[in-house]
Amino acid sequence: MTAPTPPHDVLELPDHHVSLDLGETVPAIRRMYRAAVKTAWDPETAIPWDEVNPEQYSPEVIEAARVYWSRRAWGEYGAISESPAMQFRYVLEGREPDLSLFWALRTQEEVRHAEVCMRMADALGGYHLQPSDEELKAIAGALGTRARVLDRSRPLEVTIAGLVCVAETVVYDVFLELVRAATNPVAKQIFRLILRDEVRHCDFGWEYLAHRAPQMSADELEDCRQAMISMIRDVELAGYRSAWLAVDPTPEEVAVDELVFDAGLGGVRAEWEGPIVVASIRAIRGRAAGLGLELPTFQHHLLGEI
Amino acid sequence: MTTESVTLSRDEPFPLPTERRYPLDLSTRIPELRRLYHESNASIWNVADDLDITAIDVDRLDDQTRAAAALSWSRRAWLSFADISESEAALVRSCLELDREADFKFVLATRGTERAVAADACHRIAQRLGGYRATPPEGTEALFTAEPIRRALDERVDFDAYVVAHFVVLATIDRALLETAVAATTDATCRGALERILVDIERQETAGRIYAEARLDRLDDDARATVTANVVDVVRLDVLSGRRCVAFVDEDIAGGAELRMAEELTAHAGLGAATLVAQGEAVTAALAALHADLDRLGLDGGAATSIETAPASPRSPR
Repeated sequence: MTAPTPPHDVLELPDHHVSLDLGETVPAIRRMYRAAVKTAWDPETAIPWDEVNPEQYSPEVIEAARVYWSRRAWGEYGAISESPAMQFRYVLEGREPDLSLFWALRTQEEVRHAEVCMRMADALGGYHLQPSDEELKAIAGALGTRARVLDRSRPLEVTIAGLVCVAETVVYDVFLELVRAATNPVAKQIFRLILRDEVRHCDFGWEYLAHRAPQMSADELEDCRQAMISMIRDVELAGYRSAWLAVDPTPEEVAVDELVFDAGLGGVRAEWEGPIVVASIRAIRGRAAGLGLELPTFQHHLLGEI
Repeated sequence: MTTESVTLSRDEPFPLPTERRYPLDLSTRIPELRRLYHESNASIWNVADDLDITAIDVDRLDDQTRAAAALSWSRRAWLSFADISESEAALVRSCLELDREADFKFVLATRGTERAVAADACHRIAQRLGGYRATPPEGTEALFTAEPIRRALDERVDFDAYVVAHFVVLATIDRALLETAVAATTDATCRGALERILVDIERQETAGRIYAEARLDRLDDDARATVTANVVDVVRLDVLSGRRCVAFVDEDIAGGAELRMAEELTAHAGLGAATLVAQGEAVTAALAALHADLDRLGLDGGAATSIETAPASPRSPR
């Protein structure tokens, strides 16, 4: 039996371009758009591709790094294939045009991220075209960002609260430390450049929620709170992003992350990433509280109470 | 497969294709497209640093000319803004289909950025000229609600037909109209903005032609006939309607005369538009050139471009 097709009734909304106020409505987001234009980088020239030096790594590390960087490319590609649906929602719901200007830049940034991750995998011996059969089975039927965004019954702010404010913030915090941990100059530069973009991606979510919160009902704010809780408890701490966090992690995935981390090519180790994740969730809780969203403490079988 | 008019109807639930993502080839398959993508990455411009909006000498302009130029640039801003979501919708559509080349997807992402920068620039120039207008003249609103998202995503429209219509034919017409506007513009800032936008549009037109060439040799005769039919449909919806070329706006509809007059006044002041006659001639010449170009792509260029293009004769601007 196939899963029912999720609704995409956002696409039934009429075009709202009849009146288009292009003035600044959310100044913080307009500033981010301008910063993105000014700080755009070119993957061809911004990364010292000839300094990968794959010959310094063992075959085992090389294969793990190919898998790791291919995975990164697949993940970034999701933001190319799925996240533009947010743009449809901004336009069709007649949201502030600041969002659309910013999002156009964000999409191009995600393309750069996918491209450099693919190139890094290639430089390390070859990009993999797809996940393993087991991974494909595991993700089959999962509800992606596009499906969530095109369903009108899910308010846009709820999607932003979960996917942007929580998920992107944790990734940002981990990358911030990866810049320090990575020893390969190319990996380090890739993380640094991605971070430069991702800081805006995170701030976009928080700034928009701050802009919208005073106009939202108590029920809508509660939905945002629940989205944040679910993203932390059911996605982040369940190991969907970082395998070691799962109750029953796939040993091969954990091994890939550790080999790559030990080689200074990216990756993670539980003992290294655990404190980062804890600190990140605490910071998210503090930021959410600023919006009047009180997040509970979370329990994790390895990290304890957060 | 059908043409884009059908996507505007809401009689049935919207048919969104289902994504088939893997295997996910991100490598370079069409090197010239990848080069254009990198060129775009390396040449993003920004309004604050690259244009001196305050240099537009508004004090020399009378109120009528200022208002006309503000409307002309507002119209450019509306179109550029709509092109952002059009670009992202085309990007999603290309991702939904298995085996679409990453090179073209990457180019589409840069198009969204370029159109955002253009919308920003046009808005700021309209502001400088006395005030950006958020709403088209009464009666012309329908011209600017072209449903770009539905048109790109509807699975009943073949995506290669969409690509040819938007990224070859409309891009060619947009480029021709911009060249005409640049030639008529004497104000340095307005001209500088148009020239920068033109560089981006030319790059996208080149990319569209390269991609169409790479794809169309795979199509059978029926599919080619669909591509041709869609070109006719899109030219009617987007050009002959007056949406992309004011020379075709019906001056008898409410607000139509105001849009037309704005272009004429802006053209005579050298502030960023061409006369209606020049615009009509530019479209006619572009379609004539496209006839041969589409023939070369194995399409019926004659059928695609044999459209009555004579615009209504312009009235005196004053």
